[in-house]
Amino acid sequence: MILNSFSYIFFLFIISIIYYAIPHKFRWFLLLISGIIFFLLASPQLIYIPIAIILISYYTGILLNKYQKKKLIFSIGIISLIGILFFYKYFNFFNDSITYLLKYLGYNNSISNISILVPLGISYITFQAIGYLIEIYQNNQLPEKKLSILATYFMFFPKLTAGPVERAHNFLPQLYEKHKFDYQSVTDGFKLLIWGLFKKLVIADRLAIITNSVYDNIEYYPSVTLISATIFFTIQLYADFSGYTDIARGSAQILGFKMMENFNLPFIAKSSTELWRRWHISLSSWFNEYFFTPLSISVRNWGTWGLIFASMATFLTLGLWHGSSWGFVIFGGIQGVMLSIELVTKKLRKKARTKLPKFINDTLGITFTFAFFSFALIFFRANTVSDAIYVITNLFTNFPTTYIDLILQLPFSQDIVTKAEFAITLIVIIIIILEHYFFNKFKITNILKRKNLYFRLVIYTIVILAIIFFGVFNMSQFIYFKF
Amino acid sequence: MKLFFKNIFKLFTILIITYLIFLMIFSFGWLNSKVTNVKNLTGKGFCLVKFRDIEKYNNVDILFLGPSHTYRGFDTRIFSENNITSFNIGSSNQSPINSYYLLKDYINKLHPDTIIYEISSETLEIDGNESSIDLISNLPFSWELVKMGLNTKNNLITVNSMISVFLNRILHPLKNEIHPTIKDNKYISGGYVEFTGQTTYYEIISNPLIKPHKSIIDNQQLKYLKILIDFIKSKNIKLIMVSTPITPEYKQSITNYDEIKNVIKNIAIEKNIKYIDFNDSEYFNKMELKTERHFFDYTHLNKEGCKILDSFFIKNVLK
Repeated sequence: MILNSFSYIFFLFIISIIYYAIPHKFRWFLLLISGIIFFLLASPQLIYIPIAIILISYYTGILLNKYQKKKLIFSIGIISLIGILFFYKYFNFFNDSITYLLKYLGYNNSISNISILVPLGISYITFQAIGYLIEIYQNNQLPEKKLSILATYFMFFPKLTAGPVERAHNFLPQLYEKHKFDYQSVTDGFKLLIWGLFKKLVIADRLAIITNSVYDNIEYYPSVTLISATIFFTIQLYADFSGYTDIARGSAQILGFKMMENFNLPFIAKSSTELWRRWHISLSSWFNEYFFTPLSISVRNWGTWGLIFASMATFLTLGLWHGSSWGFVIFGGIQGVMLSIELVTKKLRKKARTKLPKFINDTLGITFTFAFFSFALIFFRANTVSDAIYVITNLFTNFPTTYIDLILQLPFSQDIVTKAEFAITLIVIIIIILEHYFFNKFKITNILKRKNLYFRLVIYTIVILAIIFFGVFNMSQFIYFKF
Repeated sequence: MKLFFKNIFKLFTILIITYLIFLMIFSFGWLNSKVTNVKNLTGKGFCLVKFRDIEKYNNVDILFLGPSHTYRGFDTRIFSENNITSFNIGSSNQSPINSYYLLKDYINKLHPDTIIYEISSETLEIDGNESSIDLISNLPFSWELVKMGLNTKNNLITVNSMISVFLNRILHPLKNEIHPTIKDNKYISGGYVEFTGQTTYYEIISNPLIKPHKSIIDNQQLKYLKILIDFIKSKNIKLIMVSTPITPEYKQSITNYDEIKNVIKNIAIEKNIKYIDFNDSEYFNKMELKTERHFFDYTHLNKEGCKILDSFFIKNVLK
């Protein structure tokens, strides 16, 4: 069941009704069962994997609190969790890479690939589990004594598919709180959900029509089409994932839960460092707290080189987290290089900024950051590394020099979409720009709250009708669902 | 909570009224093709003229059913010359789900002795929405068409379009619609559509769809194929499933062509009906079909190719 389907809305509606109708003491059970059902609908034969993760997390947490040999217990727990993730997500990838390397050296790899199904949300559940154990190990948190509550945390269905990578210390206490039906909270959750559906179905999936056509047939398309698809993919990825997060957070809010924000207007970032504080925040902050910080502390004697090493290691791993392909690793590596450069040139850039007006500084920063991120995402989106290299080397090949040639290279001239569909695509991009630069600045949601009921209902109607009339309904799956 | 449900009710009321108003507006003229999830295909394509033409026919020997391969591949004039009465209710992108509901509407009128059903990987991998909208837009209202629209997968566009079409007919009845002239194409009474234009070999093979790809069968289409077969058999009508010729270049680009063919073949065996793939070399080579002479695009026969296929069919399959 995907979050942008009518069946999910119906499922959420039923669960919400029952949730508020039953006494608080039974609600954890409802949430756990609904999470299990949600998982079974996607990966029925793999239910033992989240069960294993939950049990490992639970017992490791209890033992960490009980015994002195913390390091050994912690290591066993973490290795088990990483082992599960590695086996189901990365075994074949690394095996293929080893096969390729051995073949290059003139040897054979006797280990063959395994036919493995990747369970729903495994990256997210595992990272939540690892974060949970780290917090206990560092004495920042006590282990959850009730297995049922811990299981409910892991299996909470709004975040099961693609996060956020919700921290246990943030979420677990909420499972003990008695959530009364709060009109404002529920309507805010509903609004967030609708906005998430709009971003996914109207914006992300509309852009995907162009990006998929181009990236699946790169050799057919000229320079401007490749550039358009590259830029569109960046916006598509944001709309897709932030749309999913809004649906997940909105669903959680309807049930009275607050989940962490995952995106904070990333396209106003003036540097890659800032971008990663605004993009996939639950994951980037996870890597910052549990990977980069301890690693950089351990190599602090290396000075700046230590920080560069920690940055590169973090982003290469972050890239790999996204998927078992070298394209994702290269994506992460490129980001790591840029962040390292920004680290080393921090003082220089600060000095340079004083020489230009703020507006020019900000515009240059935002434009360059967006362009560089889009460039790195070529490796993220392209089907293979060689496809990515093809796109990069052909971005400006035969770049048009006249207005007519430019028009002839736009997606509607390449029979990817009609002129009307391309116009709608541009409109949805404008909506993302408005979201970034105006909705937040002018606190649109607060202004809306002060308006009378019928005005608000008309606005919601417009958004829902936009989904019905302009949403793309046959793309369906979220990009980050694959991770 | 009462306030919440009260406001939800108000929201739904405003939503439904506004939805219906916009559907009416979007079905008109310039706006029709601009709103991506509302399509009114009335008067577009050949369905309008075909399903007016069908009123002249009753009790045929053969009924041709299926997608565009059908109405491009079976010329009822050729069958008529061999004293075989027929009608071709093939329509653009008609998939098994569409064929099933369409047949339910017309089987009692046409009473065919034999149905020739065209099936291929293309029709098994689509969801059927395009054909649903085409048929709903151009055929008179029937509950079978409504059921078809509601049962098609991912059918929001179909449902929007269906309501839009029916609202539009209040002001513009179907009988007043005029069938347009479509360049390089001529509708022949009986259901065949003749391509009257010219294409070159290069134009045919440079179609971007001729690139290696794998067809993925839609399970719902497979389910409806079996339902369709069972329905036809229940009427004691002889059924022959065929795959009409496509260009060898296109056939080669479908990397799992044989896999799809075997799926169709196994269904035919299971249901005890005949299936002929005219792309098999034993047929294709005998007919001596050539891309540049007998096809007007990568997947459709031209008039000459159709003549060869139909003559071969009459001589080797029917007799």
